[in-house]
Amino acid sequence: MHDSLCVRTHRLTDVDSIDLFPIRLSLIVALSATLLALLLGVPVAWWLSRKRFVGRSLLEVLVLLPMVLPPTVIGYYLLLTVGRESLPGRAIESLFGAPIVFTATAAVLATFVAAAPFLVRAAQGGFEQVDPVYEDAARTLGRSEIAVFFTVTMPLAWRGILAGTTLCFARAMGEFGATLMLAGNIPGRTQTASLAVYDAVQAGNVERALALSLLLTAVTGGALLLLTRVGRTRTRQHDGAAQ
Amino acid sequence: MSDGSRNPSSHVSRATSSEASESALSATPNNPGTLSVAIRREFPGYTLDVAFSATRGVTALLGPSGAGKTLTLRAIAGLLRPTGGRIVLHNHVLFDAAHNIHVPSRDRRVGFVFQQYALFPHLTVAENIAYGLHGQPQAERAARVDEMLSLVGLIDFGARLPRALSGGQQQRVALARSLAPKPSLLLLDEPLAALDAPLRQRLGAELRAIHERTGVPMVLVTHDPDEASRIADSVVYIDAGRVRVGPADDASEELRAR
Repeated sequence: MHDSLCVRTHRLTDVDSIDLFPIRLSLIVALSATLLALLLGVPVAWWLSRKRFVGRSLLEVLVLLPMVLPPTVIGYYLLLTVGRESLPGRAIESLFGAPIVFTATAAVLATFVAAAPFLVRAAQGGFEQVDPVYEDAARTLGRSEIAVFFTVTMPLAWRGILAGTTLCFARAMGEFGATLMLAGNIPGRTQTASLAVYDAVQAGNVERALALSLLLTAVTGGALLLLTRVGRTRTRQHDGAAQ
Repeated sequence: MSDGSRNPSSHVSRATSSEASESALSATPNNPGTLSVAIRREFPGYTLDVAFSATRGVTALLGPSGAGKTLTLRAIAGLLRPTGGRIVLHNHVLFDAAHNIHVPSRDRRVGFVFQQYALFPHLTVAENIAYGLHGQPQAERAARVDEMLSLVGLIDFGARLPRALSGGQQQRVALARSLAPKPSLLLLDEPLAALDAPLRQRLGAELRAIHERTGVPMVLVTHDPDEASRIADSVVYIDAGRVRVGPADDASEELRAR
């Protein structure tokens, strides 16, 4: 028992013996999905926090649904939406010469839909904490709406946006079901770390499962640690800024 | 912000508005220092319908809480869009419902001192004052910030964050920030209400002195008749969303009695 543990520890440090592709793909997919969520989710969060419009509640529910639906259901809906039989799916196929399903792009899309709600939710909370009087003050000082957003609203809501980004990335790294449905589980192409661990366990390859799990834990943990530290540094710089 | 509350007991007076609006507008042409306001805005159970004009100097909008003073100020600043009427400042039309004109806040050159000051909490005092000076060369900005800091007697406080200042100091910074971009009109919403009595006296006098030094016309909102008469050259009495005509002294007496 003691011997075999030593062997495993040795194997873990021997990077060549583990196929790192799933970890790399997980990181790329999660980072892409998080970036996409920032670009699209922050404006939606601001919109939801500041504007009253028809269908607002509907949009809010739509944004929140992926948080409560089983990931397989999200994946299935996406399959219906952009799959080879769907209208958008056929348009994509004729445009790019290849379908989107069972590609790394599909993994990004599935992960984005599953993870973005966490960012929107937290960012919306962050924006709602910002008293609109600051934005009004900026307007009377001659600033455009875009400038007001980037110089006043964002800096005051950064705590919520950062928390949302962290949650979104964490959820993205752990994505399994929606990705499996839309992107499949093709080793070397769409097999992310979570899928590779599942495969390894199914195949009885304990070493590979443990190695991938530990690596995934280390990488995700490190990324979260980094984000938390960014939050703490900024808090010290602008002590009490968002109060 | 109590002025934003709905007042169900108010009633509509379309006639008063249009008469007042005409008289206000006819006063405009030959007086470049004039602000003329005739606006109307319906809310559920409450109608704001005020008309007045202000000449050079300090004008006080006096009235009880919920009268519509703050809403009027917000409309002049472009933060609230009325449904009807006209706002003209120094012969520039800022708002005209009939011609669908609504100049955005950023282009009005109207300064605003908010009741709770609304200093940007993530920026230093100097950065707050420089905020409205964007687009100017760095050296000019710095010079203007220093000028403003000395105007309000806070020359050593530029590097502080707003939350490290007392209420009176925050009020002075808000004043400096709004005056920095050289507005053609300064609006002040209950500028002294958040301060204790002795400080209120002193800052009232300072406000008056700053007006004399800068020459910027001011419109200030207050519910204190003594404050209005101490600081302002003229007083407009607003109650239940409308300007009350009649001797100002009666209105003041009534307000004191409340």
